Amino acid sequence: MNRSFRISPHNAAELLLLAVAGFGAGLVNGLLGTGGGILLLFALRRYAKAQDAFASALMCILPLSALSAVLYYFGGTLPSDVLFSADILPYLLGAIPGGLLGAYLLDRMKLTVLQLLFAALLLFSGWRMAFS
Amino acid sequence: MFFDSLIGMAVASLAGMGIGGGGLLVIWLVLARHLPSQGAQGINLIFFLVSAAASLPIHLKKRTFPTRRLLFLTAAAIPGVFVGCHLASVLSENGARRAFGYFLLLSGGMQLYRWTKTRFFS
Repeated sequence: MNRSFRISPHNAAELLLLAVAGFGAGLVNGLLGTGGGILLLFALRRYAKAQDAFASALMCILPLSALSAVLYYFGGTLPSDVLFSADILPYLLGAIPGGLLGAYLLDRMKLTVLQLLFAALLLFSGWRMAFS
Repeated sequence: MFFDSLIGMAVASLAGMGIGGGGLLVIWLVLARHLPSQGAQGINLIFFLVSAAASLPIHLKKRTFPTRRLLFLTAAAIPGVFVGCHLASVLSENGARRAFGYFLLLSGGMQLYRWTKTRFFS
């Protein structure tokens, strides 16, 4: 699972796979503002157990989403009246304990429940993006 | 407002787990709070950043990361974000959204199939 990783010609296939998955994840996140994490997860789950792969995808997607937000802001897609609106405050108040709770629950939730929840969210987001 | 914070907390816990929020907050903002879709997506993005950042201390303490691969993936992703953001400003988003939606449906279907198989047939 934790084979050594070096940037060398011996690892060409793995490097290519990771580069394509990473670039694809960035592209999707930049284009749609969300969704790149799934590609990262597919690339990462060969190297980590499920919970670690979910957390790893999150670690990677956080700077990408932050970069997307900055680019949207300067590109005018994320206007200041959204960014600094009072509408956002109650959700941010819930976001901090919620984020902590999620990280705490990741270890305590049965793997089968986690996998089912993940499949349900994928189907739901997919249906929403494809048909609405 | 209290109820909105509770909704935020529930969706943030999904984001904090790393399985994503599935755009649930966008749906809530558009359907229940009647915000325009683009504004709702902006709020969702900022909301996601805060939720994910809040979950980091626990993940950093408890999880084992494939660190070098993760750094490589992130480095490969950064130019992707620039290209994606540029494309978002010149392309109509709908086609890309729909195509990615089908991809998610396929992935979710496969995930569900695998889940059913390991649960009932092994």
